[in-house]
Amino acid sequence: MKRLLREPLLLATIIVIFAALGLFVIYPVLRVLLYPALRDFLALPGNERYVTATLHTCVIVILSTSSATVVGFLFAYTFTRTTVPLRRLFRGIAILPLFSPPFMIAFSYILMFGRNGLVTYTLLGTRYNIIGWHGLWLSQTIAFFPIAALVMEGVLQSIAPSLEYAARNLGASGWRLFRTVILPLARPGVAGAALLVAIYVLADFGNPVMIAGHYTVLPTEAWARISGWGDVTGAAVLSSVMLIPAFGLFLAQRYWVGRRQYTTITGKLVLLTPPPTPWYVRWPLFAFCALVSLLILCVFLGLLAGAFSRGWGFDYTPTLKHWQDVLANGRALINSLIFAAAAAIISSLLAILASYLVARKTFPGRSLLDFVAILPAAIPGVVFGIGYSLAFNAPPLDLYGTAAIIILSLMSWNIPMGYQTGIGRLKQIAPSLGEAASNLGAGSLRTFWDVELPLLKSSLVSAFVVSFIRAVTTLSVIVFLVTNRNVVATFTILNLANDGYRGAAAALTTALLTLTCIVLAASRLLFGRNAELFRI
Amino acid sequence: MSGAAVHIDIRHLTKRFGGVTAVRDVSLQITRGSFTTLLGPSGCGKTTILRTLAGFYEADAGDIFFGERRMNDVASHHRHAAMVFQDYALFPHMTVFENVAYGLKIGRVRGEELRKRVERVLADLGLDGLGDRMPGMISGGQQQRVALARALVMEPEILLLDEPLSNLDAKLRVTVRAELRQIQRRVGITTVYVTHDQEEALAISDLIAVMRQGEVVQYGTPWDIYFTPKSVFVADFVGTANFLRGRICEVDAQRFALEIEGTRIRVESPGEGLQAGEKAVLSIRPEAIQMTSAAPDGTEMNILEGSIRTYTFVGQWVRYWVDVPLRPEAPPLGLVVDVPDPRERGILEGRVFLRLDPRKIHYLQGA
Amino acid sequence: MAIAVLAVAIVMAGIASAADVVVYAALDKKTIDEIADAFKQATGLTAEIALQIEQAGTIASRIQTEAANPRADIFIGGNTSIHDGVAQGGFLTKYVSPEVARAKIEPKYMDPNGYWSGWYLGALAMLVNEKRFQAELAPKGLKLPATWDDLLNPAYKGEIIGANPATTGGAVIFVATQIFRLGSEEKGFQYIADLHKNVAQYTPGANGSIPLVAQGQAIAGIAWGHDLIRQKKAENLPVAVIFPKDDGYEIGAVSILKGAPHLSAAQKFVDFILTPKPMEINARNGLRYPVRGGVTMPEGVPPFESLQFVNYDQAKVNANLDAWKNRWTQITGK
Repeated sequence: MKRLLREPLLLATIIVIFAALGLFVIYPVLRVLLYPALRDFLALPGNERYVTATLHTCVIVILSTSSATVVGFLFAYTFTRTTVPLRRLFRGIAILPLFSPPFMIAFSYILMFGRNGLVTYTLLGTRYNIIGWHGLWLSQTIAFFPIAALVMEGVLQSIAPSLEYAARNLGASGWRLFRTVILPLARPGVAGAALLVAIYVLADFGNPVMIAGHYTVLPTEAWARISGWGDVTGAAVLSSVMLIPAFGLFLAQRYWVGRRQYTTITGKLVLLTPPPTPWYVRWPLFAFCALVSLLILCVFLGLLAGAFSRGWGFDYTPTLKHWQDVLANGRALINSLIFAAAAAIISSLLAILASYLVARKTFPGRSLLDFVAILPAAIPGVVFGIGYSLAFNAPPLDLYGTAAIIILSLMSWNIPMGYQTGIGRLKQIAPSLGEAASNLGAGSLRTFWDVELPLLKSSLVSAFVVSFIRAVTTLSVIVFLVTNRNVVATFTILNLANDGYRGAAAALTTALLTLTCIVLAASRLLFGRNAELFRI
Repeated sequence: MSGAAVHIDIRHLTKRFGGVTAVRDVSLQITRGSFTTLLGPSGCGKTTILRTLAGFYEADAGDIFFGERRMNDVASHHRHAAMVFQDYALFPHMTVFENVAYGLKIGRVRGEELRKRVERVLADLGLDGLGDRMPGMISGGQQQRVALARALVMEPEILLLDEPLSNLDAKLRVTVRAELRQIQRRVGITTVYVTHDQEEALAISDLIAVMRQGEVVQYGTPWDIYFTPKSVFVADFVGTANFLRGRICEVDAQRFALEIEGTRIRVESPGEGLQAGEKAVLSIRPEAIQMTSAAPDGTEMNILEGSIRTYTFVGQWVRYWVDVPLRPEAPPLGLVVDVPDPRERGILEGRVFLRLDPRKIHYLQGA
Repeated sequence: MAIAVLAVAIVMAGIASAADVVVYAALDKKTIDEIADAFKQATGLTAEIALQIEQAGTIASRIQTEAANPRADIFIGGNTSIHDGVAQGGFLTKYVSPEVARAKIEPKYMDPNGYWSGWYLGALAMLVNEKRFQAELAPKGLKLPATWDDLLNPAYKGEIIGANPATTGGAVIFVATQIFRLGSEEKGFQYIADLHKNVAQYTPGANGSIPLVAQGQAIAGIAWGHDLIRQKKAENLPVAVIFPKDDGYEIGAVSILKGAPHLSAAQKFVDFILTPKPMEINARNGLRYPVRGGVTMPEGVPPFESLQFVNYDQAKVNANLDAWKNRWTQITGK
């Protein structure tokens, strides 16, 4: 503690971050938790619906997390350490599911593989029922494996090829090499990725509402309480239940990864190209990535089909009539982009800074900060919305109807992504770099700015990109905060879809995603070679 | 040491990590302008002391003074004790120039003066022309010198070096350490150097503090440490030593003798404090034993007969392992003997006669 | 980054409301916008539609979370069960409009406790995918279903989409309709059990069957007739719409929030809603039936009089809501 007092700027930063997280993450969540009375919580085990939903949630979390992590790892491994052909293309495609609004993936799969599906019925002539836990499993795997891939990519990339050469030299190869060298060094990344994916699966709403059918899970139950019955109390109770497994997952990750250092970026640099991949590894990986990529492209095919055809799912004659409404909703589109950009910038900076503090500094409350930084991921978006609505609609901090309340909620909601990426990356940067800077006279914040931050640039950019996309496509967070004065595109899309104008909804979604891509491409030009998201 | 100013004063320093005491009540005074080496096997605490001097660790007990100033509560970035790290810690995203300039920039040196100082130190260390390269693009030796340049350009009062040469190839190590010593002498920086390589320590240090398990076991000049080690550990760690374990007999003012399994070894050195009958350990360096194939005439002292077990050809000398039988039931005494100028006599084998120079046998300790 | 901050500042400016009354609407955009315009023309007052979202439950939830500092005056749209729920929570203000007496609107359309005023009716309907029906069921000699019992035909096995009463009021009304139609809870739930054999899935929303049946995922479904007809026209869905006899309906309501910032203007708004003009707008756009006479329905919509409704006992429904939902869950296991 004495050391901290010697660096007032560092101390101030820590306090500011605590204050920001406390006010914008903990306070709204507390408001939601305290909303129901004790007896509402006690009634929970007696409610059969809720208990079933809880069980289902546990099962699907295990299933979807495992498959998403495995797929994500294979993708990350393919494009960082192999010579599989077309791997750059696969990487680009792998990011795409992040662009998709919550319900899109599941809906497209119903279109493709459902009872009247393009693939299952038109091509194969079967009446396959995709509705249920298996459809949910598929949708969630595709929806969330990019998160796992992004987190693990940075980690895998930094394992020096010389380690692999050394192991081969000692006689290890193939599976053994992988198991004893690559996998252990990738552990912090794998653990971090699995944790993050698990928490997102836990809180996932868009996919189950579409495709889970009777397989009820907690987020859909909570949403049903609100949209069907206006039962905020019930929703609050269910959301509180979701925090328990989130806490458990968090502890599990800390225990597994431990405090070991997995240093592979040091001040000493030796550059080598990766060894060529044997054919019996290369081609299966290629086939696997190709298959998954096709599944991803199906999603967007469905979207485009909807935007340009007269009747989504039954009349595929092309038309432009849905695009008239897009221009009318220009304001909502611009709002979406601006709010999301602001939220993503602030959130990724805050997240990376927080990860630096936790990874490199000691101070009272460090473990608490570690937990709070990842907490938002465990909380379903709609609960964030409720919490902000409860917390910031009245004095002393009255943000009703403003852009600020939306930006702040989106910012808080997206912190875990950048934070987890930063932590994984920092584990691989030698502490001696920071010590060298300190030795030469740089204080903690100066060290962060000059040394760690440039090396975290790729993490920062990927955090920004993912946060931006999530903020643009989210519905559940903002539905409680939107008014006619700060309306965003996803809200309009929801209304269009509900009113039955599914074609217009698809068109507006396409417009939104196109604009998002343009913004991201522009930012790549701005950051030049530092925007490493699209680099191999 | 008296008369010269004390620059770094370590008083009763203790540092613990969890249940392990890495440094135990160490007191050491380092004079201004000297080159002091902390020498010892890994885990002895030498790096811990260095890092505590740098301000990366906080002392659990004891004080550290730089001159008159107590440094315990001073943050690492305010200490002006430039450090060269074992892994060099070059900033991978900055050029060589930017790496070296970094500390100066923080110290608000700018423009022309900055450029001049950086280029001068690069030239001094033979790194001209490399300013624009990235650290990943230069050789290990060059990287090490950049790390050194980055520290030296700060014109620090204290220079801390954490095994900086351990990753260089042997020839380069010798060259660089000589350069290092030259620069240090010229500029007169108080330098603390950490290494486990005793040959290196002997070659460059003014003073060596030999450490073992968190304590300083001997602090002195290389000459003292090599020729008058105070314990078996020091004698064995620094250089090679032959240990003679036996009982004292015949003690007088100028000489004494040691009896080992019936053989008497004479030592030309005052026998003060020694008593006949007590157990003792003596040491003699390999180069202090003369070896001949022919039996010397009978007037020589300390002649032992043995047979060569094996040898190593070092180039400058040949090192022989000789077995000297003593009493029939006892195991033979194993001695290491270095014979210089091998070209003169070739490689010896078989039966040899060893003469242990009585002036070069050193009393270490009681058993 | 500077641009973002500037944009935020711009967006945050102009918060001050110039409106006379602030409305949260659970209606489609076109309808409520037209109603707001008509309101301005009739009274000179401006209605700001601060929130427009189809799901009335979401609006009810927002009313609760914003209760510490209400910004809205009016909650319009959504059926009476939702408004009842909000009223019971203490989030509404009583108001009985003089227009009720003047237009002789039947008391069964008004809240006996005085919190909400009913202003439209919506009827349940069956929908059938015409292509698949012609291809698969007509050859077996079936005709399009005309009554609820027609859906029990084994030919529909696995081809019906229903809705879940745990998550939507529309499904509750469906269950209640069966109970009232067949005369007792026993018989009503027997119907539910029999229908269950033919059901492929229950969607969380009342209109969830519309896209699925239109795509051909199933042959038949149950939804709100007005939404069905509107979507069919807008998107040219290949479905047939059937209003069976012994149909069920919902009453759409409007109410005033407790702590409304503009109380008298809000009351004028409620008065206005009960006049013919807004009901005619609603009928034209949303195809919902008015609660009063003097409103013409657009073409393609069966006249109100042609529909046959069951004797719907709202009080009974309210009293047994949870019990019936549980029983439904026991039967269907959903």
